[in-house]
Amino acid sequence: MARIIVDDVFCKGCGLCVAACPKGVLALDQERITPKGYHPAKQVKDGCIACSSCYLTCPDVAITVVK
Amino acid sequence: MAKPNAGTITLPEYQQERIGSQIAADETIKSARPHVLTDVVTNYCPGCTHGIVNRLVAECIDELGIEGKTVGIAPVGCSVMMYNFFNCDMIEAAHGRAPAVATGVKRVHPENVVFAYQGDGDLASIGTAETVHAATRGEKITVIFINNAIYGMTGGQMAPTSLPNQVTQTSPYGRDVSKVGYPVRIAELLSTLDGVAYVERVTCDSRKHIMDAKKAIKKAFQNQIDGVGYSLVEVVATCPTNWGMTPQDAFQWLRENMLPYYPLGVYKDVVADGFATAAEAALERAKDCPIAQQKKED
Amino acid sequence: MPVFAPSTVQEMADLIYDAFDIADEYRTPTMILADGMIGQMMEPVLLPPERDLSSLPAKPWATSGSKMERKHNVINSLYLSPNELENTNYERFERYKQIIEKHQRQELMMCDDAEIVVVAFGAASRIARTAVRDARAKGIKAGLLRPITLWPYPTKAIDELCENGARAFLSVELNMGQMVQDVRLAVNGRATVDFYGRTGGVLPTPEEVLEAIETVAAGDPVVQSSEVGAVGSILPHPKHRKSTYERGE
Repeated sequence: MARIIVDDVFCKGCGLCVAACPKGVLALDQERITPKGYHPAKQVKDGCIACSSCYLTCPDVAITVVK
Repeated sequence: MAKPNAGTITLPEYQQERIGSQIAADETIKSARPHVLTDVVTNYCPGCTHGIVNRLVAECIDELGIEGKTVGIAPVGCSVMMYNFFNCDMIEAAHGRAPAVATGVKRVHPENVVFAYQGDGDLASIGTAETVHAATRGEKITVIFINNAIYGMTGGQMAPTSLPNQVTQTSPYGRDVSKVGYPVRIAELLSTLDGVAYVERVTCDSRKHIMDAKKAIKKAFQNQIDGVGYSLVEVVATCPTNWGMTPQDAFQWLRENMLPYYPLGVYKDVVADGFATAAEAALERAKDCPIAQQKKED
Repeated sequence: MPVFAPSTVQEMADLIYDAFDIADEYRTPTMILADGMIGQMMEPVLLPPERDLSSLPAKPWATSGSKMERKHNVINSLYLSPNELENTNYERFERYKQIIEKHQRQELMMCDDAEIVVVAFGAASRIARTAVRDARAKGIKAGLLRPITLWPYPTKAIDELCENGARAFLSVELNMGQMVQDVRLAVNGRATVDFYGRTGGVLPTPEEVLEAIETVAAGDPVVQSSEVGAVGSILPHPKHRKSTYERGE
């Protein structure tokens, strides 16, 4: 199943991936903070198509796309 | 030492420990952090275009398999710390002098792939002389130029690339072109020089544009490997912090204001024009000049 | 070239006006030598009142257009005749002599009976000021000489201090000894000259500067005044913790 993994060490919660996802499966996780104090991105529902749009726009290369 | 990806995509070693366990044995990685990037969190603001372009450069280095012979020249500006983000040899140049440093490195070690990465203050303000002269000398280097219409690192002052009426720290009522003149379009400027083989202006505001930007950067590196001539990619970029916007709004502002002023596109491409090198194109351009046509005695 | 060393933000503002007037009067470039700390500091500032431009000295040499009312003016620096060039140099140095005579500037604190004079400019002087007060509280006859012009160097002030019984000068700087040679030249062997410096943007505490003053007061300085230049302070280099921004962190 296509999905993404966000590496908390790098994610700065900028939200570009959330806006870029054509399927709207990403959101910033308001329940957690990263070691640097940001709300990291997270896949919050199924429907990822591994298009890598999130990976492409992520300035911190925090995302790994698997399928 | 991490090996570049060849075929199968793998996580860099440092990430293997951190998130490797989250990937099941039957899953394949479609996109992962390039191996030439170090395990260092960048100093860029959240949503900064620098991060995207750093990654595109890293992907090109990985895919071309040139990490071992790449030498990158970092500028002064927000990307000054770039030497901490890349696993290849890196030099920090004085403000604006990256093309001069790159010239030195490339001429002494022509087998290396040498790239300079600069912002608009570095390349188009204090470094204008170095930029123009490295280009017109036809140094066989690759230059990545990040144009975000502002001086980012120093807190958002007006840059030579700031747009008319744009509000910055040093143009608090908007850039008054009658007093301080007009922005400079670097891609157009350099495209007039014979030493230049390839100039393209790209941006990173959408999936398609990011992929086009990567192609341009790859071509700029490939040109160096093929000995074609000086190649520059100008990336129209955002500075959310100093523009005072969210990263998403910043890209919107970029689309509405910067792209009409700095149009995307190829401004020079000698290979597309049918020449093997910039030198060939220059010879053709000077076909009516007898002295320029003289063949050198070997 | 006159060089001014502000130590507060107010001084940065005031010295610009003074530097301009000197530049205007003597037709010489002037420099404001602030540092990164003072340049990025925020302090309250009262700006001087505006002045009428007609209050500035007349400039008969200026190339503002002869209006056919005078012989044309030429501003150049090229003199092909060596004799002419030598004469011009001598004229320039006469001008510099005037500036040295009239425009040395400094601040003295607790120097009337000082035996040990701490010499410091800019940000270093702010720290040294506290250290000198602390030294006095401990019974050490310390004083502060704060050069405000680094050129012309306040040699007259140093002459007076030497004549009044100063036996030791301690140059406290945020560098590896850029000013200590000026102090040595001015002191000219009449007292010992020592150096306490920190660099890299590390600011010593008043306690650390006080320790340097106490070392000088004990009469056992490590760097002797016969050496020119100062690499190595009078106190051993402290061990710092490693930079937190390291690769892979």
